Amino acid sequence: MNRRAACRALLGLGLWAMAGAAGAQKRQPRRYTWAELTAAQQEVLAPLKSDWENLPIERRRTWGGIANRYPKMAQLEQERVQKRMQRWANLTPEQRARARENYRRMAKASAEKRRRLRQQWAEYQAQKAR
Amino acid sequence: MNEDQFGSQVQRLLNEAIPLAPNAAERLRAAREQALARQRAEPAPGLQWADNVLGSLGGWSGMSLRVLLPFALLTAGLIGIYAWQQKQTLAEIEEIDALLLTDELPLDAYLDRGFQDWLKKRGGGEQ
Repeated sequence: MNRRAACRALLGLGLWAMAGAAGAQKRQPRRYTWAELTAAQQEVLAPLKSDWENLPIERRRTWGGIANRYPKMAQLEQERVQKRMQRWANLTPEQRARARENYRRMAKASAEKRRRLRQQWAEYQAQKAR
Repeated sequence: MNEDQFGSQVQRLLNEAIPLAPNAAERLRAAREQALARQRAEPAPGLQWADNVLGSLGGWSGMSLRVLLPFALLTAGLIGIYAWQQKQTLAEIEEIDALLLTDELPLDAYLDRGFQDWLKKRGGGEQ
């Protein structure tokens, strides 16, 4: 086989592979507009509707994922999600990152310590109010 | 006659060793060198540099096999890893966000710096 042709074919193959990899990355995220959400997702995420298009796409995707988990949550948990959703969405990215960091750290504590946290939170608030 | 047929014809003719006088062979070689030198002088500096790099790697044919293919695979691999990592990070964030939104403690417990410090102090004092 002609070497030059082989070289061209190989180069083409390489470029095609690269373009394919880049394309796969671009194609994957949908635009995640409100209209693209399923009816179930829209119902769960209703508190965010007015601000939806202003959210960055990664946040919208994360919310979409949370909405997908929603049906599997206990009722109490669903209520908490509904109550906290707007506040969580309106925090700055830094605030959310800090809360996640704290959560990760505190989640590592023993089950007993985690159980005490609730009481400690109440104690702390009482002290602060004083 | 198409180009390929013509090419193979020429190749066949060239392969049939033509007896040459030593000085004719020498002159042909010199002419070839000259032609090559003139051809090399032409490319733009960037191309020339690329040519030199290619030359040191074994020319175009060597380049294609030894460098381009691994390079293409590496690039595709890196893009793949990056995409996968992005996905993992997003999945992790989704996981933690879902936990935070459903946790027993309110969001403020994780946002309040005072509470975090207070916990640390108390934790230190108790132990």
